[in-house]
Amino acid sequence: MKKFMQAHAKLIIGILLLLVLVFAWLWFAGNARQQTSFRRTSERVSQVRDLAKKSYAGTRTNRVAALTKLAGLPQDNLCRGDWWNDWQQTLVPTIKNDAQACKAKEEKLVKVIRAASETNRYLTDEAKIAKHLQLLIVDNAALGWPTKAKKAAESALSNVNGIRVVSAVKPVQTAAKTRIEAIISAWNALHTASDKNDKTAYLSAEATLEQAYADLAAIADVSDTALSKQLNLYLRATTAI
Amino acid sequence: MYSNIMRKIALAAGCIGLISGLIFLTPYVVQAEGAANPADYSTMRETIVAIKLPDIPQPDWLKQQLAAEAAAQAAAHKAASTVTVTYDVMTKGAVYASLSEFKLQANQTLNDPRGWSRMNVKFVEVASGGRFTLVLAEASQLPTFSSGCSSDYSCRAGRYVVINQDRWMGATSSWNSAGGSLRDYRHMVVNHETGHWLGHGHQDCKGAGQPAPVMQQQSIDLQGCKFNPWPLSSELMSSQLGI
Repeated sequence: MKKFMQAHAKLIIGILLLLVLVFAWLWFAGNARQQTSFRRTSERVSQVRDLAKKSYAGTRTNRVAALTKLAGLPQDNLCRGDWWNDWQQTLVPTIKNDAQACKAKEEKLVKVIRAASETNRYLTDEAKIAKHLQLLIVDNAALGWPTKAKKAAESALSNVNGIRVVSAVKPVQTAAKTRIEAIISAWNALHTASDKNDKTAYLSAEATLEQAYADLAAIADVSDTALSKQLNLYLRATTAI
Repeated sequence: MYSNIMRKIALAAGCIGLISGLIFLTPYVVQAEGAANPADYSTMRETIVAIKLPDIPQPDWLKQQLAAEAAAQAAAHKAASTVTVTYDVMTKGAVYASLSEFKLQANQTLNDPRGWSRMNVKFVEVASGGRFTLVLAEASQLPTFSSGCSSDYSCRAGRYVVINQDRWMGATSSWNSAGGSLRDYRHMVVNHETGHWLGHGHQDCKGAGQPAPVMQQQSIDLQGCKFNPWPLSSELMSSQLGI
């Protein structure tokens, strides 16, 4: 063994030097990479804070745009390093603390992005319902508009029934269905009374119809409640970051 | 001494911490206010506010029904707003005719549904102070009411609606020869003279064979018309009563 070591002393020293170099490279390069990821996480926090602030200020379009941008941010695991980073963290407590701080930030980031994403999906799905409700806007300049208005209500109901929405929007969808059904029912009663020349039934149906249109406001009330709930979740997430 | 200094340091640190906390938390308090309003994010309420039901055009059958009802209501309202006209009764000269019969029949005529009462006027006899005075007068007394009044016929002079006793008791020869009844003549003469008080002048026959206007001088000349004791629909108005 001694002879071997004497004969290959240079080789052994070379190998040891190589190992030291590899270790040093792993140490510094790994550390540099992890530090970069810590910095990127901090930058992401700033970006999220900035977008969150924008989502609470300005016009509706700007708020929703910020929210959409926030919801689109990647939820990748920035703080997770390679195996040697874990090894470094066991050796150097400072790096371990930095890594833990990074993970804590990342968890909050993910919560904000998820909350923004859910709020964004809520707004997107609710906008679909609102779009179908616009069919109920009556153009009374058109000839025979009462018949058209009833058909428009039937189309609106069919469309609202046909869309898939996130669970938070379901109460809005249900309220919309109920209110449109009430309008269609009142239109039917009005047409039936008209066919029978039944004045009492006609006037009653007319009053019911007016009420049914006025009652559409209940959808907005349901929407306000559901969206407030969603926004509170988002607010809680953004306040924590 | 040492613990006193430490206490002051701790107090200062606490104050600094509290102020720092307030400074850092302030933006999030603003955020909370901004997040509370769903209208800042959703267009739902605006969409719904834009949906309104215009006035529905009424079908023709309903218009007709409502018009009929409105007319009935107007008629009922009109009936409800009946004008009451009071009158008192007196005699002048030597009157031998039954005054009670005169009063009764004159009142029946005035309030007959075929007569002036169709204007929603109710004639009520009062003891005195009526809006006009119905007089049963001896024929010779007629000219005393007005120079335009003749002892041959009945007359109206100012507030006096004067019925000639001779005509009341015997109508006119032309009326009688045409087969008119005395009761109809009495209807006619009371309606005609009261018509003057209501504001009407004389009228002519509107066409041969048609019923004569009550304001036509039917006792003198029918002009081809038929005897008619009652005012025609076209005569139902009164400048005196504003009807």
